Amino acid sequence: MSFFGFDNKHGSAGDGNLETYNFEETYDGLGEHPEEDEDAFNAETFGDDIAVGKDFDFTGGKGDANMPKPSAANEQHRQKVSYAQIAQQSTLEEDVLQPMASLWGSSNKSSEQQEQRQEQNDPERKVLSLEEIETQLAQGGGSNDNVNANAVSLAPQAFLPHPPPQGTFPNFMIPPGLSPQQFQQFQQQMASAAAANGAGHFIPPPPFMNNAPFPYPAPIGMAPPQQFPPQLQQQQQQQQQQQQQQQQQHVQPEQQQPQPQHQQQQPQQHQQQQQHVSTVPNQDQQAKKQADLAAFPVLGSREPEQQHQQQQHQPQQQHQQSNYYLQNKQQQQQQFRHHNVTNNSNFSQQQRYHNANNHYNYVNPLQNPDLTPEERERLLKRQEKVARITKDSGVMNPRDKDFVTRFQLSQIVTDDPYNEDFYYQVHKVINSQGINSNIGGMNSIAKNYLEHSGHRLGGRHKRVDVALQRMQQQVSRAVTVAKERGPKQGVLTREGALGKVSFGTGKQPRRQLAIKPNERESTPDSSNISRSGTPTVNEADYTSSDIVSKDAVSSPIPSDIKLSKSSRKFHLYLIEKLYGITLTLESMERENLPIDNSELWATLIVADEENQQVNPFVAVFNYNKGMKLFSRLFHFLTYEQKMNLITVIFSNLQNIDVILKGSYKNYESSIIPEDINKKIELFQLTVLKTLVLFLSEAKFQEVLKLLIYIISKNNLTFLCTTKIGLSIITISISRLELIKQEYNNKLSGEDLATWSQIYDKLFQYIEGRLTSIFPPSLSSSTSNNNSFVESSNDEDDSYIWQFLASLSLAGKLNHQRIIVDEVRDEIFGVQKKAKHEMSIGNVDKANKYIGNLNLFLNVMGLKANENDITEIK
Amino acid sequence: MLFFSFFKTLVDQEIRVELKNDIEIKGTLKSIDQFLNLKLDNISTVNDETKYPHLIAIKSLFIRGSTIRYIHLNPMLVDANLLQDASRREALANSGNRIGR
Repeated sequence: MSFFGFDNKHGSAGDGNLETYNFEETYDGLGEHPEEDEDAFNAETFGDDIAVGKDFDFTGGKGDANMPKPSAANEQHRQKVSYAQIAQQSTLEEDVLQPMASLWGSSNKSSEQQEQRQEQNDPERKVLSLEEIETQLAQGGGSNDNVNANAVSLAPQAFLPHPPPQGTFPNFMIPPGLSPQQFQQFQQQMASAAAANGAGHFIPPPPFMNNAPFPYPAPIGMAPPQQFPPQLQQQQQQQQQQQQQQQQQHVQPEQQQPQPQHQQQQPQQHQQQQQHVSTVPNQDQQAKKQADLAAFPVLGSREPEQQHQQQQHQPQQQHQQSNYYLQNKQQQQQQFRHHNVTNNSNFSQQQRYHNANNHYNYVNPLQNPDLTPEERERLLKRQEKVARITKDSGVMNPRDKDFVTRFQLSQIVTDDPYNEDFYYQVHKVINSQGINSNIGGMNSIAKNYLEHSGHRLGGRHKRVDVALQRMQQQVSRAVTVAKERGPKQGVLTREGALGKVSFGTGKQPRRQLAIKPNERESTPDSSNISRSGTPTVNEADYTSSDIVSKDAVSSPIPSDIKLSKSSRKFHLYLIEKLYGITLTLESMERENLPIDNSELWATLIVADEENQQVNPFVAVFNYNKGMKLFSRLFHFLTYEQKMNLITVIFSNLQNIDVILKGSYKNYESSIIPEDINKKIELFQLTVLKTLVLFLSEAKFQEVLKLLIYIISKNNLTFLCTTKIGLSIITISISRLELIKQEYNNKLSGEDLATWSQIYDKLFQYIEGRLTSIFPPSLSSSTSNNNSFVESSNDEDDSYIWQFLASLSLAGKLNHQRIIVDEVRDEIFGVQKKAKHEMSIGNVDKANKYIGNLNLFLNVMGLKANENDITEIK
Repeated sequence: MLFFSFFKTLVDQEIRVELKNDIEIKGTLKSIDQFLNLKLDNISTVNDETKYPHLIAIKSLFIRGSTIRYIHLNPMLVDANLLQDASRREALANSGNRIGR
């Protein structure tokens, strides 16, 4: 830390009355900053014969002649950097400059102000909005000191060694063709106009503004906080408003130089003034003085000096740091300011400068002798923490944040959330119990963004709804921007280039592979080649008759790929095609558009061809996703179409996977494998449920027709050994019987005759084979020897008893007798099992067995318990 | 946008992030953007804590999406059917058939 070249031995001995800083207290980590690239100037600046030490005195050894002099003490250099010399000369020069300083206000005051400001480094309060500024302006004399603090004046700079270089920092300029006096007048006008117009509306700029455009666009970093009325969205308007604001704050004296505005510090002044009245004896007087100058610049403000310093371009960073220490002494500082051409040429340096100042000021209260060590410790810790937190605060002003927000949003937002944000939107709808709000899109984006980003627009004093409103504006603007930008091509192919340049966009982050989708179609030659060269389907799979081409089937199938209708690939294509159509229809339904299901039906009909061994549509049920699709797809069909489809299904029942593989007779062990069982379960939950719903509203003749299809087109004996087959028959029979009992008089005798005919036929098929409907794993008759098959206990045999119940319900007494005869063993078996379960304490299980059995027995007016069978009274 | 859309539904849920440098972090997902950058809260390392002591004191993290290898989810939080539909929509949209409108 001795890079300033203090001889600390001398320094510490310098003046016993001054508070001295401990190194540990003052070190704020500046030395840890990585960019120490300008250390090379150290020797030049301070000389290279300086003793290096650690515990030097930060009082600066006021007036200490032992202070080491810079070795390179030529005049120019001294002007720039030699703070030591400045310190020495302070008394002298202070006198010289005092009149000036008093003219512009109190130099003491300004120094106080700066200190206070730095103490008050609350990031939230860093900027005042235009409205706030204007409100304060409008409040008039009572708060004029506020105005002074906010409507920043700029110090005279006539005594500057040279005008600040332009261009290192984009500057505010007096419009060409306007003399400084005119300009000042204009600014005052503007200020008063703004004061009169407290609501913050746009004030049209005077004509010259239009003629003489801004020489430099106002950079974002120094733009004032914007609280634009929503209608002010045009770029030019914004710019004009910026001008206006800057002018308000630029109430300047005559000796104007182009000045950068660094407004982040301004509001604090105001606060500080209020809070430090008691500590600064001079303050009240000063405030009054400033109040008198209400519409006038507060020339003594520290602000301009700072700006001045920012503006100067001087590469030697050490001076910035020396600056830091020198502020210890206000008088010194005063001198220093006048002489100092040391500066921060960019923002980061500026930031650091402030940090240094922050730290310095935080240390200050510690000097209070009244503090106990604990308090001191606590204070120190707190200050360190605050310094750490506020280290980078204020780097972005609200406008910057808005800009970033808008930029981010424009990547994310969409006017079509259901297409591009489908999962989230639907998930939200599902989880919020089906409030289907299509409109919610944009608002919810804004709301969510606010919620999840922790982004607070306008700081803590803004109400949330204001922020939300603004965010919504941002969103809608971002949507517009995103729309205008149009769909971005992810890939740029330059002619003659070997490779492609691919861009990542927000919606499509950069792709690893860019595949041209339509290559085949675009080049006819290659299409022939690929046609002959695509034996994608197993040759054995298809015969010439069942080759279909794309045109006849479905567009997702590439034109040159021919698939057998019985091939797995075709089935998968079909399912995906159906899914695509269904999704389209669903989104049409959501948007209340007229639904056109012709494409869906056409795709379904393709599958419906008589000459197929296995109907392709039925093959859809071979796949889980096909089953899941069914109910969604079914929903979009007309009644006739539904009827047709079900006819197809019922005619092909035994070809459906879950029935084909769902019979215990297929397996030597008579146990259906687990994966098939899972499929059966899924089929029940999806397809069967839909069918039941449909059948429960179908008419008598229709159900009858369907039952005829079942009986005539399938191997009934086989069907009855499967769970699904049996369930479907059960449903049909009980539906018919239900209608018959309810509307007996409304049914024609012909229908009833047909029904009893069909029933007889059905019964004929089943008679004598009724025991076969019990899979061995469920059969109770085989377990007479008391060794129950444990695995069977989990299975549910209710579907069997339901079938028997519906069969006997529809049958006459002699039918019932036959049924009971055939399944007598099963009935007794169940009773036995229930008794056994009862004896080992499984009451639930026993009740379940008996309950299932009673499904059947109750139909015939009987009732069973584990011991005997009685008639229902 | 599919994954962005998907992960948005996981906000405020606990996830486990495995980074490409083998650090595994558990935490509550607070925010995500289209690059799948994550903001995590209440983090803890799944690995041996002594291996990455610098993470012990940290409560919240911002993770750049490109450094993530895996994100482990609670399967209960995923609506697989919906995800399938969303994927189909995405595929359809990419092939030029915008759904609806």
